[in-house]
Amino acid sequence: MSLAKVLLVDDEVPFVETMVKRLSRRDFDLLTAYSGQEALEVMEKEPRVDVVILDVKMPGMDGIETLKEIKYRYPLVEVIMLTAHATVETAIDGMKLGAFDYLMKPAEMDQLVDKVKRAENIKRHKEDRIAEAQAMDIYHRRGD
Amino acid sequence: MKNIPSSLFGTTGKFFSLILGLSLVPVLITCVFLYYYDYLETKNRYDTLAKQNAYFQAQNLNDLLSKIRTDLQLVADVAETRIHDLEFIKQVIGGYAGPQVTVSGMAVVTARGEVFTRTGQTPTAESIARDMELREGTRRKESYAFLSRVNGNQWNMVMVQRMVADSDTKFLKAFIPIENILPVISLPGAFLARWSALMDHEGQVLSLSGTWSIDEKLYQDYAVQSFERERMVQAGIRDNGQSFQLFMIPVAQKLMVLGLAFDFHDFTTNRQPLGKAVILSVVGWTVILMLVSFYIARKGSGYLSRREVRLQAMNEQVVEAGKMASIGELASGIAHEINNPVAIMVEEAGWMQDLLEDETELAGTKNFEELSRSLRQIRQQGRRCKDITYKLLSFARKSDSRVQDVDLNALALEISAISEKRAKYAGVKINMDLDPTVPSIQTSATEMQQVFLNIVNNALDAMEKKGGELNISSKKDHEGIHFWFSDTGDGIPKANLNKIFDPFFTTKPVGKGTGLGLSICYAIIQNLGGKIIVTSQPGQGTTFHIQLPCPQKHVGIKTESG
Ligand SMILES: [Mg+2]
Repeated sequence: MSLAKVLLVDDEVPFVETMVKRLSRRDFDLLTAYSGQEALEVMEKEPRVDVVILDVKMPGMDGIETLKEIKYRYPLVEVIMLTAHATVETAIDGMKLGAFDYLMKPAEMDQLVDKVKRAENIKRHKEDRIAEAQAMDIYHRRGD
Repeated sequence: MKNIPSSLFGTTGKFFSLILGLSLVPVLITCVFLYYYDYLETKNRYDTLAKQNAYFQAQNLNDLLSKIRTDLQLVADVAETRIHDLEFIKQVIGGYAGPQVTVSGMAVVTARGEVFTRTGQTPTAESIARDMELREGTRRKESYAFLSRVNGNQWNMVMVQRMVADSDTKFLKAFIPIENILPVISLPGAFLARWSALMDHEGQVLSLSGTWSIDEKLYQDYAVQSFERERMVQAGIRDNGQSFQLFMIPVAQKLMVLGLAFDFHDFTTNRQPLGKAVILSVVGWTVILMLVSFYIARKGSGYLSRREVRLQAMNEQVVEAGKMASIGELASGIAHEINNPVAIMVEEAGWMQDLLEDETELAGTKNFEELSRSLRQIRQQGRRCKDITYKLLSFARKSDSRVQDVDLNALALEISAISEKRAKYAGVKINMDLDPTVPSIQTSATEMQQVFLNIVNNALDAMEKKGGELNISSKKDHEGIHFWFSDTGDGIPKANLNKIFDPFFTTKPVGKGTGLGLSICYAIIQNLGGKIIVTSQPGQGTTFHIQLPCPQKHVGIKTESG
């Protein structure tokens, strides 16, 4: 099985750089972006992203906007929101918009890894179900 | 003065009276100066206080409305989950009572304007439907508010929250009688406006309170002005012997104008008799009279300083309230600014730890152990920063607490039971003396719990070394509900006494307390319109006295039958 492809989006450059090193060490295939816009561009080039770790507060297009756009374009991709100040309101907003989970900075590495893995599993599970459904579809069509 | 030797009067009487006569001139000047200075100072302070008070009330009003708005969003979130289920929705909206009994009724309306269900005092079905038509244009918005006469007489602010689920749109409407708003926004303990009014954009009064009536010609223009400029308008007005400071502040997101008039006249005339007395006595001719004038001037300045102290106290109270509000706003900014760099530090430390794991030949050496310990420490301290900022945030977030009937005596018993183990360990005996007539109050149980627990914990901390007694007592009287928490600890040094409610003030060792506990208590009690009074005798102990207003007559929201 191939490594999970994780896209890390945050405007804090040193944070991204270190996290990439740490997460790569834990067997993830890492992509990075420093803004919401850049994240969408990266995903366009590399559609096989499994999980996005997304900062909420970023200049320009913020995390919530980016989340909406990602979920609209790639509904299967799971998004974990990462924020330095979680309010109930933004948490509710994020979850309503389909975020997988919500983590607060500084996050525990073990916890983050665990969440990414779970998000990836769910994505794979959904993909399998769709593949199944498509197979059925084809079968029925051939039947008639 | 009293110690003048009597012989002086005999031998150098003339000389002495000359000296005293000459000294009369500077005394006279001083008195006039003092009187005038006091007058200006008083006027100045009064002006500032009135402005702060007005601003605070407007802010209170806005806070109250935004709290209701947040609550409505939550109610709508819950209702959306089973939007077709009439019984469920009835239960959900019936279970909501607005903060400080400001919401009188609620209704759920379908997109066609039909009433799905309603509770409490709501207007007739026709009137609700008509409102819907009126607001057709704003329907696309998630939420909005407007003013409406309920059943043709009582002015209400109607807050509407849109609910969408399963392609079904419904609107949740809350009715807030405008006359319920004014009584709950005034600043407890501060002087009151003689006239307060909520007006619409044309300066038409919707709700009025206070002891004065003011001709509408005098304020209407100012109300319109403040509405159009979207800012506070202040005016000093003198009319037919009435003299007052008028404030007009746009509130409720430009839906209304809050008007306040403070009695300036009262305040300044209070000062004059003293000034006159001082001047009159000073121009008295005899030495004795002059001594008396000296005495009165002294007393006068004593009186002045007492006044100043009193004004200062009021001032501090107002400033404090302002400080609380801005800390709330600051908190999320601070959390963000601190947690980002802290996260980077923690991750860098984590990365070093990761790398160390690769250095197998170093494992077990003294430096390796020391490096690991040091990195662990960095991560742990990072977690501490996070704890503090999230505590700050929870301090800022007042709105997510459910209001319910809270039996304060039961709560006190519960807290003492929780603390029993710790008390035993610290050698502290907890005595309870509770007045069974203390009524339940409408508040958030967790918030009150936090207040009691914080105070009990503080008392236990104070007695941790030597042990002692903690006496918890309650009483109900005409002033309200009282709770006393008296410990026999070391007491609080006088210098610290007025700082203990300041955010981040702590005397505990680094890392032991965030210094937020008591300031949170203060904010909670203040929100309930009560106060906390601390008295402390160094070496003898400290008493925290919580005073809360008795619950007002309950305007409950009952589910409509059928
Ligand atoms: Mg950021």
